[in-house]
Amino acid sequence: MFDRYIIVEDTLRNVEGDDAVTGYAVDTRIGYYRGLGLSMVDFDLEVDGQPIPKDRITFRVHDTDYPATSLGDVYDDRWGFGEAATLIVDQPGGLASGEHEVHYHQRLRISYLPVPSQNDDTKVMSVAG
Amino acid sequence: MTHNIKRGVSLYSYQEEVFLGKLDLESAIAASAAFGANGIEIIPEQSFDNFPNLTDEQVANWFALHEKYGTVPTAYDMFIDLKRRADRLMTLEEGLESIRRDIDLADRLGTKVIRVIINTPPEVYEHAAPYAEEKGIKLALEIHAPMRYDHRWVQQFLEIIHRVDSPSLGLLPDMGTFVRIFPRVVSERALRDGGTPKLVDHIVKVYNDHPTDLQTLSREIAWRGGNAVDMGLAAAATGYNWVEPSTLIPHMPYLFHIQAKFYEMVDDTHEYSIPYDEIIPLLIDHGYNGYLSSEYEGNRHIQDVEPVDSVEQVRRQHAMFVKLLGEAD
Repeated sequence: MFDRYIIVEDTLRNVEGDDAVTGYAVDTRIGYYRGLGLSMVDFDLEVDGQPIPKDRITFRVHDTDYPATSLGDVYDDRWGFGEAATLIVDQPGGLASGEHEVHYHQRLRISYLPVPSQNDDTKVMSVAG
Repeated sequence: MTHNIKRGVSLYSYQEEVFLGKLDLESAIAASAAFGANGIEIIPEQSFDNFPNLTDEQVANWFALHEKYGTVPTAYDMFIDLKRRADRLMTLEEGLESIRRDIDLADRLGTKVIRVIINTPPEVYEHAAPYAEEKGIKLALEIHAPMRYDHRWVQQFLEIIHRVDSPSLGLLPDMGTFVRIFPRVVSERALRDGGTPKLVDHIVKVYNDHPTDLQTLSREIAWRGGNAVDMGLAAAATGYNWVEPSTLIPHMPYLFHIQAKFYEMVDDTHEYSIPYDEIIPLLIDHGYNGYLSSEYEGNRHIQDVEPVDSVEQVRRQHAMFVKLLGEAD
């Protein structure tokens, strides 16, 4: 229902560590009309057609970091309605400056639906040089 | 004919603008009060990011907003995350813990009715009754399309309501069970998404001619070579339904609240799909005395081609309610 908004426009950027670019990040939102406990959230991320392994992604919501591989075990935190969560990808050097296509596929385990709700969004965004 | 039906709105109606940060709790309440939708139904899991840990300050602000705009809290839309864990469903005890949490929050927010979502296990609903009674909260099971009042899933709840005979157990009809004409915002979206025009037309026609006989629609569309969009629309069509509004009559004593679902107010008098001009007189005749709480659900079907104006859609529905309820006289 909110597919077209689940990647937040113009949020793709490189992330710097102490003295080097350690990866890149993009902001996402939940494609649903309420918030949901993190254990019910799952997703896949592709950048420029390449699937990004989950063990290289950190999910950050209201300043708390969770390894993307363990979201399914988080029973005491939620992702709020309309709230931006950042996906941080570990990739030394980050992305080359210029345009990149990001595809985000989200699966929400909503209890009143027979199968998970699936949301998809693809956006082309620029990373500053 | 005199009646005591009141007008209100579920904040669900404004989800598009709230999601995008164009409306917040206060502006949504203010906009509703401006056209007399004075009963405010809330989805706490939407309105409060820190749900379920609402602070006293948030609760005080909620009441201050009602004071400021002359509105009142009506209903609380609850959910039960039976599939919170991937490896098993909630147990009965966990389900009760979840609904008791909602009863406590409803008590704090002053919403005397809880919308009990349709997937709630009947045993959780029954066992929650004493606690709800103690708190003075009504548990209103939502009858939502494609469920019908005579469906076996709903019958389990009706049996409990009749047997337990608690003032806290009743129903919340969603007017989406009275979709007589397939919403054109849905079929037009399918066309924009790449649906096959003649198959989209066929799905709409089958729905409009045989809304209670859609079981074979998906197969039929597959046999006619439907693409993914056509198949999606055929499946979506089975999620709507039409039953005669008179189906409500035997349940009148148990109706605590009504969600006035709608998809498209064409003007100030006419919803495209749902015949409110038949439903409202029937509610008046049979003494319904709760709220008509607007539930706009058109946004998701038009957001690709036009800016969504949920407030205007709800305003039009209330202009229609005013006429049908005789408030203009």
